[in-house]
Amino acid sequence: MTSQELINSGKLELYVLGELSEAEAHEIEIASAGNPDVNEEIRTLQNALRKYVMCFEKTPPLGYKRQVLEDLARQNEVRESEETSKKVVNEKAEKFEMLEEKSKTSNILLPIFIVTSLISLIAAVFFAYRMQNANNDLVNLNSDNSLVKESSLKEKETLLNEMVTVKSELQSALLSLEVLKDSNFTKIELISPDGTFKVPLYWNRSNGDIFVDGANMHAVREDKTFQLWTVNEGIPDNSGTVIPQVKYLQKMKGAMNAEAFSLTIESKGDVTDPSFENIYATITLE
Amino acid sequence: MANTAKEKIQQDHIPEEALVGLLKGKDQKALEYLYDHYSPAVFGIVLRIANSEKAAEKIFKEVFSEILKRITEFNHKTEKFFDWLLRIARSTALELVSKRGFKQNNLSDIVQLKVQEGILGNTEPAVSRDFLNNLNPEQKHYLDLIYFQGLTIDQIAEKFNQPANAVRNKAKAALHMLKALHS
Repeated sequence: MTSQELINSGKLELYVLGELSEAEAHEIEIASAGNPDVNEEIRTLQNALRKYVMCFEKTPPLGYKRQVLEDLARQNEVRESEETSKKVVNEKAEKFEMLEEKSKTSNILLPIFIVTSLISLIAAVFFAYRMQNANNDLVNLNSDNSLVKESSLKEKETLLNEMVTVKSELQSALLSLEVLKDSNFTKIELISPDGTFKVPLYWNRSNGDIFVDGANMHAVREDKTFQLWTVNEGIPDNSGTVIPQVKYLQKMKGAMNAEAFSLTIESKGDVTDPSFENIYATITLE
Repeated sequence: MANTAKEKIQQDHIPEEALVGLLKGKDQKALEYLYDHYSPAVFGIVLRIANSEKAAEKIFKEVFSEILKRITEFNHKTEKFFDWLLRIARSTALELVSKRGFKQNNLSDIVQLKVQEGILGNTEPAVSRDFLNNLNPEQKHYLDLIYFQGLTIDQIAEKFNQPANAVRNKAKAALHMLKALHS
């Protein structure tokens, strides 16, 4: 087929409209690669179609830009926070005073958090004492004894790591306490399809904050993950990953409005749409 | 290289290749540049496909997210950035609409209605209005079914109970008319 015959055949129009089979499209691509006339005709048709599409160009409403950029920034933050979720958080010692108000909180989880916090505090003191001893031992050691020095340094490093973990747990416990004490939070229970268990969720409608208590959730396979969805006006929004069997409340992506919350089991990786056939627990709000 | 590109952003002009490089690095100014220069095109496609402001808002955000997620796939040697962007926006919006079951009305009727009501005419440049007005309703109908509803020739033939060959010829004629108007 000559260039002109191909151009007059109408196949190029169908190619540009995406209406050819893969094999037919491949033939056109081969023909156009070595043929300036065919190539030019395709480009002209593509430009014409683009011009038609651009007739519907419309500036998005005011405010969309901020939302889109904030959403993109939040997605980046979520990715980064997931990667660094186990890193060090700064200890705020003054928050221990909150423990004194424990009697005001009636939630069943509160005693567990208080006990855990106290154990964490004792452990922190204990590890500090041990580290001080290790430091003293290190000072007293003969500087020529390199093996002993190395051993002490390793012990010190281990103790530091343990302290970091304790600090992190303590911070999580204190944050959980804050949520449980805050009257702005409403406790909502997501219920499994068979009704045998519930997953508590705490939602602050005034600022959109959401926390999930995944302490009693089941473990899932390594390649699976629990995903929380906030449904508003029928549209599900990914509110983040819930880690099962974590004893502290987990902060999720906030939402000011919701008509339902659902936990689904998804394959690990980027999840943009819920697999509602794999619902783990859900609740529709009245 | 990055500094040079950033300087160009400040001058409100950046070559596509440099823009793509900065977007891959999640550069905030590049993101804003992308939005400022390309969001009307993307929103226009999304709105036509979703056919509802509310659904379009949600899909529009996800389309932008998808564009950035797939920015590493873009190859400037095989495609213009603008064409790639429109292709990703269209395919993502069609996929999301299909997955979530948003109902698409007869788009060509809406095109006609918008032109008649002056909605489209009031917001679009005169050159676009002329371009659209030179297409007859049937031509718009077929272009919309294919581009904005993502239907194949066979699906259109079945939906409107017409021979596939007749639909194919009408689609070709519509694009041919676009070409004539364009040139």
